[in-house]
Amino acid sequence: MIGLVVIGYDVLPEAILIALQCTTGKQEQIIAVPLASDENADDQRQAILNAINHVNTGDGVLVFTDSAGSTAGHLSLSIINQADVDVISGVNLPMLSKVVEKRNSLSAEELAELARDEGRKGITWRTP
Amino acid sequence: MSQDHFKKASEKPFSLTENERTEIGTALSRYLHMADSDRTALINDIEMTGSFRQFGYGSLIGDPSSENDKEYGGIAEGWEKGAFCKDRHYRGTPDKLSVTMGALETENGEGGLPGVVQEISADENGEGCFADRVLKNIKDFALRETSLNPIYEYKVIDITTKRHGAVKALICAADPENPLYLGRDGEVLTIEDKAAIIATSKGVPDSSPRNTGMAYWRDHVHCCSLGGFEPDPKIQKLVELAEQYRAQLEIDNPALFAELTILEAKSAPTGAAKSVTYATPVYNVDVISASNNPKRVIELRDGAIEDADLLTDPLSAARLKEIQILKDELEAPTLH
Repeated sequence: MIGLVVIGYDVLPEAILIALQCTTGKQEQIIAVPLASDENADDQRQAILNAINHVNTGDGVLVFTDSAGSTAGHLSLSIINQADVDVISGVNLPMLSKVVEKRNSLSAEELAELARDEGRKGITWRTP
Repeated sequence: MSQDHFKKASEKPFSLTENERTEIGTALSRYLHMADSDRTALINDIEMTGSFRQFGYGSLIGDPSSENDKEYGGIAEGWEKGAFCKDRHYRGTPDKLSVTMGALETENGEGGLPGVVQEISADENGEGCFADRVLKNIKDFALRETSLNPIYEYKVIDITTKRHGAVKALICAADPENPLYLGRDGEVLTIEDKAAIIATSKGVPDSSPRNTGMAYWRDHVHCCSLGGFEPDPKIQKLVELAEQYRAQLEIDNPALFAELTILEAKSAPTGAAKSVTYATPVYNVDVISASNNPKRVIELRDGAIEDADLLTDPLSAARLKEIQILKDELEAPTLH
């Protein structure tokens, strides 16, 4: 099964996983990495690598970050080659819901593409 | 073999209409001055793969010119990057040029330039709008590149990637025929000369968020990190040296040090931590001791500027006018 890591500032990654599991039930091989603003970048990078190793059973790992230009996005991209993971920025609930539903039947790359597409579809705009 | 076989082999996954081919070809030719062979190769590749790709090895990584569907790492085999070009506007001025980056094919054909491929694909939004997206991408890229420091030529080269094999992508290459071409380290200026210029240069006011030589090269180190790779060892040495000279400048010329630092503290690299700005050194260095470097930084810089004739603007008024016309065209709201 493809492992999932969600990274962001403070309580955001844990909160989104709590919200996710309220609708999808308890999930395995998924982990939140909360980043504190006063933490050293090397320590944060190591925490991300540890989380990736923790959820990696050999089928690949997807890393989700709060946004592309954030510290989470920056740190994730800095280890992308070393950890051999796909990084998807702009994490949201529709994206994660679809990913947990499909992560047993798709490759990591297919799942990453689906995550991006579902994340985009999940953002809508309606006027009165 | 059957006729069907030949028909199938020649089928393209995506077909541009004659009008779309002409529009894309015209944009590549007019705004990027792309050679016929590269233009044909790029248009054929768009049709054969249903994708259009750019290859970023510097600031394009942290600041893409357009939205893209997918990004992935890649290597331009037989290419290298370095402080190969002059800068007359953003980090230098027309009467005191600075040093900026470019990519060149390596002299022995060995080595590789790591970077990030930025791709848009036909299957993302349907065939109907793909040609429009390609055209918009090219024009956004051209607008970014139509600068008052026109140093690049635009080529289509093969990029080796881990997951997607060899792909063709558009790259900004240094042009040795360009009057703003400076040369490899040791050709006209040594790496020490270039570092002294970088450590002390500033551009035309407000022309860029990276308005000093140091800000530009510090940003490059951040961009490499965003791409998931280390800077080229030669570039790392150059930036380390420039950091050393900058640290020494605080002693040699505190007024210039303060002026540059204020400019650099105004902006920050993409994704940097809260306390980091372009004034933050990217490498920890010691001030060079007087015994190692008897020359003061300004003295070294002034000698280098004179050696490379960086006191004369290489661009004619006519060329600058031509650039402004293209820029106005690209910014006009009637364009795609």
